[in-house]
Amino acid sequence: MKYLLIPKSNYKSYFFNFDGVILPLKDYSIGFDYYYSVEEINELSKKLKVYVIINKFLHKIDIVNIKNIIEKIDNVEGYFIEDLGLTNIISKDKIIINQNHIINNYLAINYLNELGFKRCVVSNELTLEELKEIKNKTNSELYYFLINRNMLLYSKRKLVTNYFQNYGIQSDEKNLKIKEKVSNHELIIKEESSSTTIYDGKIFNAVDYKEDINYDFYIININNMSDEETEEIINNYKNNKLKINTENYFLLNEIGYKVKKDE
Amino acid sequence: MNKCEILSPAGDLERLKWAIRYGADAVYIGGYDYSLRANANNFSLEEIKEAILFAHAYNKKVYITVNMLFHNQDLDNLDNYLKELDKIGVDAFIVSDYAVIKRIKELKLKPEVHISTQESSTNYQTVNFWKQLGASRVVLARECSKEDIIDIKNKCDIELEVFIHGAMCTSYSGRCVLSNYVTLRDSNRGGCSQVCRFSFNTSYSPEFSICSKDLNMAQYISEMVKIGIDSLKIEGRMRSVYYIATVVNAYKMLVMHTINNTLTDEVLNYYKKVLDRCANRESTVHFYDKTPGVNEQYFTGREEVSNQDFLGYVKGYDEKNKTMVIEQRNNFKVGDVVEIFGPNTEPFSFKINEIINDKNESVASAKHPQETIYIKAPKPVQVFDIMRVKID
Repeated sequence: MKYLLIPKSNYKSYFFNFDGVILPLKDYSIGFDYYYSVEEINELSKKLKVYVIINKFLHKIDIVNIKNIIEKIDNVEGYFIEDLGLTNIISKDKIIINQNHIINNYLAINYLNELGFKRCVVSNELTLEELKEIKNKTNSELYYFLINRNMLLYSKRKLVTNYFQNYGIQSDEKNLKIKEKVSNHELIIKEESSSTTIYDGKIFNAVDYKEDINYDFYIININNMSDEETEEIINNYKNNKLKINTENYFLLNEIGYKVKKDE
Repeated sequence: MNKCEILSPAGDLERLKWAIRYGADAVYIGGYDYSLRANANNFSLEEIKEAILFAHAYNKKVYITVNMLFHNQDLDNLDNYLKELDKIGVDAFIVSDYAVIKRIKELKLKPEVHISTQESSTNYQTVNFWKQLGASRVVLARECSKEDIIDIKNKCDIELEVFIHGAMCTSYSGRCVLSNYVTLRDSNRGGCSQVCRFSFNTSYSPEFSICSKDLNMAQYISEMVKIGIDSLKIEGRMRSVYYIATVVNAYKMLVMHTINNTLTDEVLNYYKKVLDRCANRESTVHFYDKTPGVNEQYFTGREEVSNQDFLGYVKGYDEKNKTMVIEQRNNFKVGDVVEIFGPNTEPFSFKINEIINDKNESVASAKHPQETIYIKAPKPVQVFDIMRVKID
């Protein structure tokens, strides 16, 4: 198993502690703290194994412009893509299907494999047993966000700006901590130029289960975290006990979806 | 000009029949399994069979939502389910998951494959991807602008379906799992608890909200028909009979007036009022003409008003005595000004001068749900026409 880092800044020496880095492409990615220009990507790809993540939904202008940008990117190991339109722009062997929350079963992965997409990211909302069954029943190269602040919503709306505007609040803040009023569940909301994303208050951590899951690539995403959390993860991501407050959510708990009649 | 399909939701057989009577060209429904409304009534296979027989008798179509995102264990009975639906003659599967597409192809099933809005398709390359997989139609993301839609239409040889009315997700569809994390219900398997409608605390004093108003595309229907969109989709499989009949009828009329080149401001404004009245939430245009802002969201003080406009429907008409037989749905009384409309009945209004109950007594009001009432009407009406509060 290999470890890929999604950094939250420009180049740092600790990038070399990982088997590769996944760089968010400027203007075509959302939900990160730092975005890389083509020049920065090309510079880093001379020294490190570099992947590029493009996780924005692409509208009319984007899908035209992205083709020219990708043509300028050199020597990368692969592209993590959310928008399937990119399958008609990037060669199949370079694509890692990364549709957030969408890839949840072995049959879907096998179909993608038959179509020539042999690498994909598996959803973070699955149980350990489901993840293991996927491993057993597929031949694709599997990727999994091992440490991540899970993105729970991706909107095209400007949810923070709208809130301030509605109440006449003068503020430049784009990141807010919010708490659901009944459950007190903590969330983080982050507005950027073309999106608003919401994250869970707690960091997802499946390090304890990495041997059981046994996927080919584990992604360590340190974005949307404090400096202390980042440092702890960078230094100890392979150790089973991280000294930060984390959660493994659905790994050990099957989630329901049908309301019982008496509920 | 392209004949634009009006695609209606239906949560059960009764709603499906009303949708078709009121002008839906196709209806989408969910079975007990695998749809994104796990907690709606939904249809048994027997009911789906009856729905198809009814729809096909009217030369209309039935699409089945098999659009949840499957976990491994959900796959166990998928083949049997798809084969049953194929056997009973559904016209299309609405799908999101690659696994379902794979099995439909491998089993060589006849129904068309429509890609659900859960896949959030926003550009022509993505739509072409689905075409390469054998889809005959793509339901575009609600986030598509007019320019996005035109670009896709111009560059893709595939049917396009676009949402025109009903509830909106705050998120790109399929990319919200707030329900999973906050309420432990899987949104992408039909358990969405609509956390986007909840309230939140922040460090600022007013409560935080991300709740979207509903969608209403009445003002742009003419333009959408001219763009050549193949199917105009109404959201709301859990909505009432009255809501479905009213919304389907309003959009059908707007499309017909566009095609016949008879759409005036007066007609448009009338149907905008009809649509505004029958909803219990505010509705507006969202991404078609702009990036939605503060006016497209709800904040504090959101009101969901119970609609009581539906007064009854016509069960029969005595042409000789010019008397309609009405089954009551909400209270009305002598002196009320009411409106009749129907699939083939242009809306007209009149004042109720007398109400006769089923004991042949003249009464001041109709207060009992589902009681049979006799009222004289100034114009002929047809069975299944609806009597509602007059739209001013």
